[in-house]
Amino acid sequence: MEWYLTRAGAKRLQLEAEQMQSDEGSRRFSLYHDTETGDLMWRGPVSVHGHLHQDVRLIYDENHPYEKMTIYVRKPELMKHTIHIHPDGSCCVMRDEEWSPQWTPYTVYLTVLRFLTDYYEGRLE
Amino acid sequence: MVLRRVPSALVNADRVVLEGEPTEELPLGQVYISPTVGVRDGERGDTIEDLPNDAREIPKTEYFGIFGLGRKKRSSPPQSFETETVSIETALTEKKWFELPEGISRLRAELLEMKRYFPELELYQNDVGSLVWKGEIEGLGEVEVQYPEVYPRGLPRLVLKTTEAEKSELARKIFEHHFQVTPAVALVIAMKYLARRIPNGVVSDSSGSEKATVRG
Repeated sequence: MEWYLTRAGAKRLQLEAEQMQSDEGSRRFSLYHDTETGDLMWRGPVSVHGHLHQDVRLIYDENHPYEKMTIYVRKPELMKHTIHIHPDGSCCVMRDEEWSPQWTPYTVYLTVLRFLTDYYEGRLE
Repeated sequence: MVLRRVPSALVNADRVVLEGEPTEELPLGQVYISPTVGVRDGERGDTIEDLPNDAREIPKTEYFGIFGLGRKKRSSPPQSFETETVSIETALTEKKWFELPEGISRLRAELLEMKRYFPELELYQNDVGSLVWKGEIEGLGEVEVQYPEVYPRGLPRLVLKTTEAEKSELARKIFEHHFQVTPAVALVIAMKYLARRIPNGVVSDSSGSEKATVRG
């Protein structure tokens, strides 16, 4: 069974959805379900330093909240000149061991803002 | 002195209060992110007075930098999407883990495991319908092992008389075993870890005691 179909998972998803409504930026994200892969994700636009990415995806792991979420920044995609962007376009904003069940899509969204700020300020290796 | 209330974005994290002079640098290990103004970071010299009103505190993570690692399965980004949202109301009526076929098999196996290793404990169902092992174990005293609602994705929770430090260390050690922890395994980890403080503990540091015996 998918994590969000369990009683606790559904409650958590509801809480996370409320948290995503808490500021103007994250409020523009919507919950999507990819019927092909089964992925559940938040999609929305992010703008940092005047660079607009229309399709940022925060994808839940099937073991959420025990495994970290996967992040794609698209439309336009980021140039892969840094080692922090994988060949498939996913961004690695944290180490596995830094993830904890206390992280939520909203926290990940804030981390994406930080990552893109560092990206456009040339702070990434 | 300046007091600033900064909401933490983590679930279950309390709101934090920053105290200090306006020119004092922000605490390390955290970053403060404002969706409207940007990122504030003590490591870059940002101070308390630089904090925007809508800043949220999150842990400062380290960007991971090895190609291919950090990803689990997908080899390419998902391409097709449906705008189908999940119905939370429907989800709330779902069965509990031990009412599903795979859960029944798992519980049956764990009943045998517990009967063999911890026959002192008995299985109960609490007020909210969750399963709990309860009983007394020599050396540990009264113990409870509570199944989480998302079991086996979530870890069983041990309730026993320990200090906060021991509790925290124990939780870490159990978490290290990740998703292979059954109630019996959690109890074995607890007994192994807490053996030092248990007189005539069931599990002892065998390497040390064997050496002592040889010397004697």
